Amino acid sequence: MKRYAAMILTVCLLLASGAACAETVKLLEISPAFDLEAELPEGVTVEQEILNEQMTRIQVVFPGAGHPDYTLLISPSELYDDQMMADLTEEEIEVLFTEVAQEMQSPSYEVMTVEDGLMMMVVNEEAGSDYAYVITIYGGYFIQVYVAHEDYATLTQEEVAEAINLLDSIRVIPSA
Amino acid sequence: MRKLFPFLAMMVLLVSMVPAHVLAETPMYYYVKTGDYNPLNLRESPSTDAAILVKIPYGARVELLDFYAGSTWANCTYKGYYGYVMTRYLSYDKPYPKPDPGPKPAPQPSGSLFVGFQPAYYSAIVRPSTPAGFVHMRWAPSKDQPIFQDYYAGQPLQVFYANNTWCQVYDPNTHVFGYMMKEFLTYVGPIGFGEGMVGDAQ
Repeated sequence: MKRYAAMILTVCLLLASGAACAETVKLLEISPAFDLEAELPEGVTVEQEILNEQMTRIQVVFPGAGHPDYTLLISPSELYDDQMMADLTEEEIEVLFTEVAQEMQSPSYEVMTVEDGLMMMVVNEEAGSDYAYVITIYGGYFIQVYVAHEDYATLTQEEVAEAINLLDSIRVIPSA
Repeated sequence: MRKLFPFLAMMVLLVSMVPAHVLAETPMYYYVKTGDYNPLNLRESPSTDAAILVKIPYGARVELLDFYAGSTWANCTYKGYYGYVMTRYLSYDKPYPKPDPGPKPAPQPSGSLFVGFQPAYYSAIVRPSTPAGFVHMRWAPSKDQPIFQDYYAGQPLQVFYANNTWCQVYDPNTHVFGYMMKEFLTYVGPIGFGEGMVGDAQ
């Protein structure tokens, strides 16, 4: 049976007391085993596209000028069967960084574990065109946020942090 | 009939001079090239839900039976097993062996960016290093050169010139030239091979 990520978006408003409003974007049918839900700042627009049999791209566009583009890419991985990033050894993490950073002139990376235990890797290009990846492996799925300005101008720490927040905001909802 | 006989005799002579393996269907061989040097799953059907028949070691050679440019899966055979592998982990060239852990050599200073390019002329498909990745096309062959386009797995390009690391590529859809790292391109066939079975001429 062909597996592909069929995306159905529903947007609903959440009221967060004393904080900026957020929108919950539900990403359905990524996997038979789970759905994904992401909390995004109010006003963002989301464009979705199924690129091939395996990969789905979600473009998150912030209102106003000057924001970088955030691209969420999700694909099942043949090499990480049902694994989480936290299951990888140090050597495997190093290999993963090498793979992700192959096109970078001067890459650096940081591995972090957020509050709910999700491990992610932030890979930065320190020279030339400025862009960054925030990636994780969840249940054998490779989930990546790519952030860059349209002209690859220098990213601020806040802009990279937004990519981390985006990945961190993704919640896995096991299928019933 | 007497006029035809020399012609027929000539044809028979010419055909008999052609090696048998050329007359027969030429097998297509590719190598397993996984970024983390792990083995690649050969599956019963083209789906990551399908049963794994055997794990093919890094660097092993497989014979492709069906391989459509741009497709995620290829039908192939390995040591008597028939099944499907993901095309993004196949390389036309035999990959380097897994490197020994140790200090990495210091990068050598390079002269002109365009050193060592030779004519290549083949069709290729893009093969990012990660499952959810893409590959940059740049204005010049260097990692510090500006990016102007990104390509996803399976997208077709034509290679015109190449050195050990970079290829000058042409996008037949946008009619744009640029440079892409050779590592991320999988050979499909000579230029002129478009959609359809790898190895078929248009």
